[in-house]
Amino acid sequence: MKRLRHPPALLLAALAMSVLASVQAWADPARVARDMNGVWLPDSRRSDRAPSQLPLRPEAAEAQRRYRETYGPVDPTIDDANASCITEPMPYPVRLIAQYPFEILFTTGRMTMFFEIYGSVRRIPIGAPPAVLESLPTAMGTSRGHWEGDVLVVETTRLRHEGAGLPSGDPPVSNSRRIVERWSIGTDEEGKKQLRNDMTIEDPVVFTAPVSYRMRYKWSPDIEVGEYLCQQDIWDQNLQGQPSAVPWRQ
Amino acid sequence: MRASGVLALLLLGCGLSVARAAAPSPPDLSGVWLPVEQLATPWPAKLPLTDAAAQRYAKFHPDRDEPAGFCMPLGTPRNTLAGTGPMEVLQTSDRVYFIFQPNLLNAETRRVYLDGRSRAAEEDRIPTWLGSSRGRWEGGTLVAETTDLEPQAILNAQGLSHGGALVVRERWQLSRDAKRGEVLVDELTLVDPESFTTPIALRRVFVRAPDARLAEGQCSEGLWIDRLWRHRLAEHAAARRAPGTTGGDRPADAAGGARQ
Repeated sequence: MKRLRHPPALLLAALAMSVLASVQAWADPARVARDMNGVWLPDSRRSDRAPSQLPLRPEAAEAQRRYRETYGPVDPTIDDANASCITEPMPYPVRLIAQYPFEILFTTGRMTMFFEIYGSVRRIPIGAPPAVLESLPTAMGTSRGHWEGDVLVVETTRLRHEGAGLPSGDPPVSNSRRIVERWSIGTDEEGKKQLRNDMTIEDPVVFTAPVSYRMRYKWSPDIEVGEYLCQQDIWDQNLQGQPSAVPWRQ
Repeated sequence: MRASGVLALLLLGCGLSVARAAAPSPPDLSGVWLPVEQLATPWPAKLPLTDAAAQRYAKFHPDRDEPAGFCMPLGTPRNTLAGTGPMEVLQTSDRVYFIFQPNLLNAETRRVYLDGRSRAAEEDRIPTWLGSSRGRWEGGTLVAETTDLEPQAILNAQGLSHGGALVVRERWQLSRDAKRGEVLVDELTLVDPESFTTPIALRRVFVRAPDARLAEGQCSEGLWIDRLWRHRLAEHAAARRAPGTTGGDRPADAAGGARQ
């Protein structure tokens, strides 16, 4: 029998493969899903902020410059759709640092996210065949998920532009925008249960490179997702005959 | 000793399995459903209103008093009674969620908890538009009770109102309709002695609609587009009046125009 030239290397490779195989065998998406079920709050201290400089393609930077020159300065009381209660599209509700909770509920073949902000509902079929893209773009987009070991990988496309992008003075949004989230469960340095979302936003028409965020969320079993009544002050004005406390809604 | 212990454990295990097998599993209500108007019971021709409720009802003006006109929720139980669009049910062993996304309005998610959690103490209760719901399975029937409902909400488009003490009792169950096959039936009873001299009983029926989708409503879209474009039109008009200007500061009258 011919003597092996690098037995330690082969042995190491075999060992590594068996470890990888065991990790795969240990993967337990059902357990991870049970751990993800429930209410979460953004962990602002452990999450990334939006980068101050986005890697804009020259055409996108020029579109933004031209928009600002033509319509600027941007006045949030008029130009920001969100001030008028228009839902800001994904990834806003998962990238939010403000303490608005969201709830995850796993049911057969589906993860559903209930966001307090704007009361949005996001449906993520898991392991389903590609959706038939007949619907119009929406704020939550069209999502599909699949498990890679203990990580739920969610891909989102068909995002509407309204509520994000130029009218708010932000860079444009293209139809090629695609968000890939990698959701997993871990613990923070204090040993508390942590929900992790490693997110990449691709938009080759707008960005020269994908933009990545690392978001972390705190397990919050004592909180319920509340009602988000964006138009409450207009309704109150109507009931009480008083001018709004919000100047641009008077 | 050890053998008898193992035997005891085995027997206990068998007993538990039998007990589990004996308890019927609740029916699966999950899926997307559409209301069937023809099978719904109408509101009573003569509503059993107290004097206070009758006075409120007579004063209702849809332009002024319709919360949905101001992008406020339909609220419970109007979201379930209205029959304006599909309803999605998500069900797990300890909760049932009813999701409504009425046409052009924002999403409303009713959470019915089956885990026996207690209600908040009286002094900590805050009325909400969707209320606070607790439920349990009685055989194949989901029995739910909803309280802490916001009295600013109304019960129908005619402006029937209720007080803060309204209790909505519901019995949800699967049934069969000769023409439509499997249906989901909700028998509702509205109890509110401050508003109704006797409880009001209503039935709503839903049919499975696996291809129906709940559309994402953006209630205030019209409001925003209206304001944005009025502003833009005023801005363009101002630019035409002052040729040679290329943006920069906003014309003073444009902002005013946006708020007319």
